[in-house]
Amino acid sequence: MFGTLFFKECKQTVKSLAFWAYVACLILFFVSQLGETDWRIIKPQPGHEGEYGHTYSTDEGLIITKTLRRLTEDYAQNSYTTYPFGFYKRVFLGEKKKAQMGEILAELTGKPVEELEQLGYDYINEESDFYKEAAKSGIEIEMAEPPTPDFEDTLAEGVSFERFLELMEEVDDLLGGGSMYAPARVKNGVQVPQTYEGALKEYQDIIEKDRYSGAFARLFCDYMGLMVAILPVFPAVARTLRDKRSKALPALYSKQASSACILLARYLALLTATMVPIVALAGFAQIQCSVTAGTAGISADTFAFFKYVGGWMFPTATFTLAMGLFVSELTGSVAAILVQGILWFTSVFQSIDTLIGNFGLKLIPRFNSLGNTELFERELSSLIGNRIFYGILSLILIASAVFVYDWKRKGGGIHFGSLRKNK
Amino acid sequence: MEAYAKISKVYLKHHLKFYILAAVLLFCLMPFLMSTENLSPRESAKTLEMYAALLGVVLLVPIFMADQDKDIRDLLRSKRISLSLVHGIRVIESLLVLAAAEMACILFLKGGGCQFPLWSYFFGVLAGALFLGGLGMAIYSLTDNVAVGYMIPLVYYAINFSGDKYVKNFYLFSMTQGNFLPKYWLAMVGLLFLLFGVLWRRVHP
Repeated sequence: MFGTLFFKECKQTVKSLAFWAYVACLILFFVSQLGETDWRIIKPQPGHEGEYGHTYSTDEGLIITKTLRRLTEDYAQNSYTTYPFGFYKRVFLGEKKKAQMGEILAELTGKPVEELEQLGYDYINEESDFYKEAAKSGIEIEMAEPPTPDFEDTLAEGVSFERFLELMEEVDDLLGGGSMYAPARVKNGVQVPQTYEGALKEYQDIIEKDRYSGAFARLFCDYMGLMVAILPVFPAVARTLRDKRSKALPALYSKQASSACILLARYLALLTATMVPIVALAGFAQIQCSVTAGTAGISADTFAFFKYVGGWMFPTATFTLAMGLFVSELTGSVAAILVQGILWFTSVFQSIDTLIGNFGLKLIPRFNSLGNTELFERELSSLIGNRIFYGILSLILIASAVFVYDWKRKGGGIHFGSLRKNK
Repeated sequence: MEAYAKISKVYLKHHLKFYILAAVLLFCLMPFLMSTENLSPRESAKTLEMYAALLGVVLLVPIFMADQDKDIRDLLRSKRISLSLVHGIRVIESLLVLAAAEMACILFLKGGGCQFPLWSYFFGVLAGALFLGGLGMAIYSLTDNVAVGYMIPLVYYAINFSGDKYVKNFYLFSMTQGNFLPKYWLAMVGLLFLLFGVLWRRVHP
């Protein structure tokens, strides 16, 4: 019975307008984001310092220098990036907290607060001496960048790295927590310009560890994950509402098939229909990638895109569909779109400043970088944990959807916000 | 006139109130999801364009949900007042609620000490909301499928994340860059979408 139901559901899904709109949107997004991708990876050549991109370093000296420079800039602009409760937020300090921040910064840099204030003045006031000089030299104001103090790789005298971390804790508290200055985040490393040796190693990592196409597959999952976290909810909602609209529910409820059988067949059919276009697009990208690698004499991983899609995007799709079915069954309305829309929006904005790694429990894991294999390997366990979490949530949601379906079948339902059960 | 007021009241009582509730929920979530205090004009525009404009999708797309059932539509068509007029009243009512919701967002930011010109930003965010909502409503009318009606404006919104390369004068986040020209295009085409949606529903009930 399950097999028959599954194929019937597949047929219904494929015949639905929502499914084809989903396919069209997926293709449109793929073309707009990855349509002009250059599938070549050029081996770095020596003598091009400053052109090798960026990497991450955990060197204490570099962490201090970079963090202080960033903090000074943020202090000057009085604008800090934080992620309280995991949501992206900009914090602007009031006078009292700004003064406290100035004191911390003065202790760390050994520079008087007045100098830091002057830097702030230079940063934000177009009437400052810095901007006047820039204007005289014919530099446009938008292009002029005030200098930041060139800190040495050490702290102000008498401040140890431990003290530095303590003060970072204070900075984080002042910002309400979840800031870029939280000691745990600071210790993770800082972005630094890549050297030739580093760039060469990264290239070798892409060729040997990622086997060329793995690096592109990550980029594919990064972009397409944005769509897979929202689009499948639409066919799911459309499918649920279809029964209601065609007044087929009483007939369906009276059938012999169990609620689990009906809902699971529907869920798996929707999941299959959701994944097929993604796998097809992944296949298309895989071919382009493999051919380009082959032209350069490199043997690419022929299944990299499929492996990444399975491990990275599949749990997103299972969760989105399960959420869509559960909320639609529960409310009999389009509320699932609102719920999933809020989750999607939250996840997109969680990553707005950190598009690489820091997976945590984000619904849409981002890794918007070609290469960076070492960093990815370091964060792989966190990504696996994240994906397992959403896999488990999907199972819970689909089990809840079955329960709700069964409950409605027996006369339960939600009407105008109140729960009721027909006697 | 009394009949028009009644149409408006019934829509508010049985349908619009749910969408208003959703809009209120989104409004309440705004300070948790976006920056809302002491913002510069650019940061304020970002919050309004990226968040508040989405209220247009919530309030304008489901205009035809009330007569989603074809039997109800047939019944409405048998009445003296034309179906297009009923839809027109709903559109105007939703637009008024949308304008109020956007103004609430604007005033919330102002109350949080954000610096920006009130009326031009109000027009700007309303234009974006009108376009997104109008697009979804027109698609809903065209396809008679509300899920698709919601899907298209959200995908359009996502495409705008990568800049104005493809969307040109219909770029949703232009105010953040200090450019108000696309707002005129968005507002104008948004209104045309609404008009198209109502007329299409009349021709293809």
